[in-house]
Amino acid sequence: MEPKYINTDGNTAVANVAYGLSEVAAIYPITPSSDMGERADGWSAEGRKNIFGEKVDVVQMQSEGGAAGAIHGALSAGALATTFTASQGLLLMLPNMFKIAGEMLPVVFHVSARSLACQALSIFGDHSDVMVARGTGFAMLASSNVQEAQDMAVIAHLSTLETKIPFLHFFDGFRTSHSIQKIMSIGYDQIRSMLDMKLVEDFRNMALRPEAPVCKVGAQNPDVYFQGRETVNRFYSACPAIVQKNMDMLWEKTGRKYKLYEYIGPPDAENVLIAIGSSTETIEETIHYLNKRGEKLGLLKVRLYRPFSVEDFVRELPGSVRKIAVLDRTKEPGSIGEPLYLDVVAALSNERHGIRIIGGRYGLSSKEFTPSMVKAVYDHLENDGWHNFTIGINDDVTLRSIHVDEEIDTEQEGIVRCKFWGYGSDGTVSANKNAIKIIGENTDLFVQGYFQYDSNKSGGWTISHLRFGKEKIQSEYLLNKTDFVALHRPQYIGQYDILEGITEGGKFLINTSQKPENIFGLFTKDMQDTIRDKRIKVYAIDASKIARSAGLGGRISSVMQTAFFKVSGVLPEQEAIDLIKKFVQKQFARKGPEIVEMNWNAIDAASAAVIAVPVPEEFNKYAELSAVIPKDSGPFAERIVEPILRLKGDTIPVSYMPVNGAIPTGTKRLEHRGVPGNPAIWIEKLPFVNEPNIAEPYLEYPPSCSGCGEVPYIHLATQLFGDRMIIANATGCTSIYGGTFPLIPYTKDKNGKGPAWANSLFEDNAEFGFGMRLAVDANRRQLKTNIEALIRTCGVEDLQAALAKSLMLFDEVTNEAKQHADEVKRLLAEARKTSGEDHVLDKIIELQDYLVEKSIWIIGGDGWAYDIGFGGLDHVMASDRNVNILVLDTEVYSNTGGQASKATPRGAVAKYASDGKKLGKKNLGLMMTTYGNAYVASVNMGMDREKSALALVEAEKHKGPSIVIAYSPCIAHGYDMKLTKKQSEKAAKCGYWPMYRYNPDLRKENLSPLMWDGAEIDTTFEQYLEEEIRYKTLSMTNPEESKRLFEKAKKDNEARFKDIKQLS
Amino acid sequence: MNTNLSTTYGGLVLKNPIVIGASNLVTNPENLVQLEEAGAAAIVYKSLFEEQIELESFKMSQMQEVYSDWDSEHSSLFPPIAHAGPAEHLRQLKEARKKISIPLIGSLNCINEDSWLEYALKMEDTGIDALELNFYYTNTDFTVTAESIEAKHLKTLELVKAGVRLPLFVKLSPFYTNTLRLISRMDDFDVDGFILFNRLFQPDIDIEDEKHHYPYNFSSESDNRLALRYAGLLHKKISGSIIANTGILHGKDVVKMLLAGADAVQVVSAIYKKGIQTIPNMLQEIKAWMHRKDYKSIDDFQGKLSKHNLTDPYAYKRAQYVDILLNSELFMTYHPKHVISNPENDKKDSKR
Repeated sequence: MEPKYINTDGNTAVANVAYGLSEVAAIYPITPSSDMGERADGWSAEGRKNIFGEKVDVVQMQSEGGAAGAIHGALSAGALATTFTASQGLLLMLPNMFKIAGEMLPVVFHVSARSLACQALSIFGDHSDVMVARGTGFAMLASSNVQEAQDMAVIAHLSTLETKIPFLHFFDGFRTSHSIQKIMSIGYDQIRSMLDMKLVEDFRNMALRPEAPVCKVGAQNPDVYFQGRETVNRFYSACPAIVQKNMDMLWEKTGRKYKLYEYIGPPDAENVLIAIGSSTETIEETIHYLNKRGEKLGLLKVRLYRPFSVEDFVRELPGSVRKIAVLDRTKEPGSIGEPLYLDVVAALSNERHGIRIIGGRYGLSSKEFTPSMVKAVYDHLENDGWHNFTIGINDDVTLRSIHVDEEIDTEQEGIVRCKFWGYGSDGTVSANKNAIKIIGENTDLFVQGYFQYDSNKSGGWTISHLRFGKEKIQSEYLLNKTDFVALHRPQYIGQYDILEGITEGGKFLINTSQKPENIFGLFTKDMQDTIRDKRIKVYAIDASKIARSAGLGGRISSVMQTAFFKVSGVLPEQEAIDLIKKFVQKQFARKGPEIVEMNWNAIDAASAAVIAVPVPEEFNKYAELSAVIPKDSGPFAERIVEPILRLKGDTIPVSYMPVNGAIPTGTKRLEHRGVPGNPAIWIEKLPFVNEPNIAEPYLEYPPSCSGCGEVPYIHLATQLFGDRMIIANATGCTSIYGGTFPLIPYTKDKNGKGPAWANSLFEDNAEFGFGMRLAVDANRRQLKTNIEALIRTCGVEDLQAALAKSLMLFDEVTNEAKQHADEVKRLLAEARKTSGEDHVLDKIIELQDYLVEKSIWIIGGDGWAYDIGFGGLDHVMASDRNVNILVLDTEVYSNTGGQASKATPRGAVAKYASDGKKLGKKNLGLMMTTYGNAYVASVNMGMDREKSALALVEAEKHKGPSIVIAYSPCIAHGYDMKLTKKQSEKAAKCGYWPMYRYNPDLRKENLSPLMWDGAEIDTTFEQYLEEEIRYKTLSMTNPEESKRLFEKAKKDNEARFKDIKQLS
Repeated sequence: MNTNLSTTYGGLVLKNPIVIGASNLVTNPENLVQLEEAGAAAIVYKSLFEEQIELESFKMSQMQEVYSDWDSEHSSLFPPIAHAGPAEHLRQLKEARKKISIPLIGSLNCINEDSWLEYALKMEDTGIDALELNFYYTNTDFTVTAESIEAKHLKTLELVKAGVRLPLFVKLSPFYTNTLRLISRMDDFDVDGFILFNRLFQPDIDIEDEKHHYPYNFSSESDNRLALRYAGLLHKKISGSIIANTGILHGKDVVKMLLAGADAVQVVSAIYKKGIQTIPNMLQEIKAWMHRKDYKSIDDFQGKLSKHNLTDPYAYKRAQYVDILLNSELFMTYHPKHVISNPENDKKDSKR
């Protein structure tokens, strides 16, 4: 059969295989694995069949822990199951993984490997997560590129059934999961032909069922547990051969050959690198290049990491090897070396002697790992360099990093490398994905596309890295050499190094409305020199003008795409233009000939509008480098913020980095010329707000999506309590725009006080904030005891009186109390000068910041509060401690890309709820009122900001736990975010979002605890629904179901109101 | 006297010749019931426009993609689900079918060749009694030949006819080089009837704004002459039923059409203009006329003034037109009521 090439990313390729070979999938979103679950869910929703001819039952759980539990159950009861995860998600699965392996249940977990949250989280790729799972008993199979990810997924599913050992199949997050590559696809027929159905029968025969009752024992005692552990050994011994057998079968069926451990290089190599994952592609590319230059370098790729087959491993390693560097993409602080290194040392200890083995770290959090770095490692090895090295960073503290001396270009001859500078919403990335599709599907060229994004949620930069080559592309790193650069946003000139890495004779395309003769003057001096020195051909197009006149609106991407096809030289010009036209025709044919024609005209117009920009020999006008931070902003700004804002953060040395992840607040302002943002001055007029500081904001310029409905609540809360606030922030949008290094939107006031902020994880935020409360209480208790003691013993009258007053004000949070605390601090400092040894005084000084009570705020979204963190939230709300929980309810997992949560209302379409959410929104507020001691409010800022403020103030005052559930418009609702206020009003006035405050303290006064703040109903539910894509979609995709669900949703609204009103 | 208004509509037997044409009148399901109660013999449900579905699906995918590729964590924000195509229309059609007991006819308007049969089959599954295909071609291209346009229609018809068991009607525009020949060729495929004619999309120009605008044009009485003429020409020349459409506002207009040779009429503008009550009024007017003329059933007079039944060699010929021009002063005294009372006048006016 003719091989079928497809363009796909790793996640899709893997999900396709997993879907085909599973009956059940229990999933939970986490970057960068979410796409796999979403694909599976989408296919299931559209009724796609697996290789057994059945639709896969894809179920979203409340957490990865839940997903793993469900998988364990499904396997026990006899269904072929799978799941997808990464990072913290995998960590939450660990307990079940031990159980699953212990019970010899065959399953495949597909993991897009990602960094773990340590000093900070990172969504990017490394092996920190999977390496933690190496003791679970799961077999671990690694893939190094998209093709392999697909093929190893097949091998893993086939092998788990035969070996009875569960498999963890992993590939590099983003680098493989999100990279688009041209691969040979594998069909379900082909997969079916490889699967021995007898193995499925054997598996089914193990299913728990009353017809063949067994007890999977719960407990074993010291007499037998140990022996029980040892029963599995023979399965692990047999496993490698079975995996290799399946690899050989795949080879026979597809022509693609794989080995458990694969040596690349000359048979007489002395220096060898050993690695896992996408880096092995880059190493292979590099040694091909270096060996052609006369070197004799080898590489050993590790695919089957667990069970580690020493026999196969050693057999693959040439006898000539004298030095080995093992590269680990993870860090285990305090270890002798990282896991792969230790395994290699152990594997060779009895088998080979006289080999020097060193280990090093690379590529944490998708840090670049380039051929030049590969060469540096080989050089380091050759020079008998040290063990425990790092590559890719500058470790100027412990001096473990090795230096890259020579920059090499190892890519295949004829490769065309194209880099595009785009803007968040301008469609550049989507257009480039299309370009890859067009070229990949219609020519013999191999393609690769990788996309980088700013972490600002709106208006950030995007960089697309595209490669086109005649041979398979192994360059698993960003473009560091480019043959074509497109600048879709000319404003970047002067801030970013636009032409970095452009090759001799390369092409540069800029989108500008300037006249040709003025364009050269737009560039910086550096750019002009590069253009002249490297004889760069410069082209320009006024994309906005053409897009407008062609009726394409503000989306310049298709115009730029045509210009790219015309000038990049990837294909001959006419062929390229014909291909885009054909693509457009295919895309729009069903929309009618007029639309096709309109697009064709736009393509012709764009093609005709590309002009060559004259490059003058002499030119005295150029653009200056633009300042990215204000002058004299201090060392943190200059050493860290400035390079990061110029996208040169990779150059920051270890010594500049904070040891524990903590950095000053108020740094986001640097990006805004140091000018403070706007305080919420409107709170000043509120009668219930006591002496607020409205002179300055405590939150400014958060890089959220514009129109984000969460930000106003945080802005308000910080304005109300900022100078004594500690925030525990659940992972999610709020933690990304609130706490991404190094630009922090939380600020300090003129007294140096402001919110102190921390993020633990996603699942534990209520407990995290609760712990903060415990700490503050403990410190205040201790402070109080010592103050009481000092009052008794202190001879200084002023201080004595001041301390006595501080006890009177101990629970006050007025300005008087705050000012008095400052006065006490002053007196304490004075007393310290004159007093001799005084442990009590010292203790009070140590704890003096606790004179004023702290305001503990536990902030997070609905994914945390309703789902993954609900257990903890529930526990904290059932306590008697004074914590305040602010739930920014966007009714969807916003940060991971719009997956449904239990806050998602019935009928709304979200990921994992493609066919509309079937059940109603959980009434979290009502549930929390059942504890009796908790303050509960449901607010809607767009409808009534004063009542929202009142709820926050009351929540803060309440001495027990409080929860404020806040209606938060989100782009995932799918409407123009300029209209959030209007839509919020509709939400209130159609009876969708109840507004109330439930204050148990009022009971003591014999008053009704419920204060109903709801608006008069004067809008229909339909009028609310019609604005939002999440609802409109269902009426367009499944009208019958939409009608059914919306009828029920209406009843949900009524019930929600009724249930709450009954509390009065 | 017992007046029998029943007629045939392709394979359907109707209690009277008044059928409600495709329109948004049916959007409110209650209207369906009221139309039936008012005496309508059948209802053509509003058209399923493939173009509209495609546009909606295009817009939907655009809406879904607005926030795509914005940051590393979401390459998309909505699940990649497809527009359901005609599902909503089919759902409405199914519900409409349940609401009334008179025949319900679907109306289909596609732009892609392969969609006609696909959609027709789906419509058939809703339980409708017949299907009306709207052939519609707007000239914008100077190079397309008449033959290719007609061939396309015929191919579509052949495909749908072969796949669908429902009675099939064709509603087409009058603007073909030889509309009679096209109808006759279509008739060879055993089409159950022809609706004369589709009203074309014709934007107007606002001379103050100097812009095109798209007014909703109700038909007026004078719009029915074209159908009247073609009904006369086609009567007994084709085996399919002849259904007149456009400008049928009064009972007398129905009578005219029946005299010319139509089997039934479709009414829309009359209801928009005068309300649902206009149906019983029209029926009453027809009955009164038949009573006055002593006709007991439609058969008694249907096609009486068709070309087939007229001996005047100049009837339906260009000579009529010349005659009109020569006697143009007649226009000054023309009054529609003469049409019913004096068929001679009608003859003179039948081609304007």
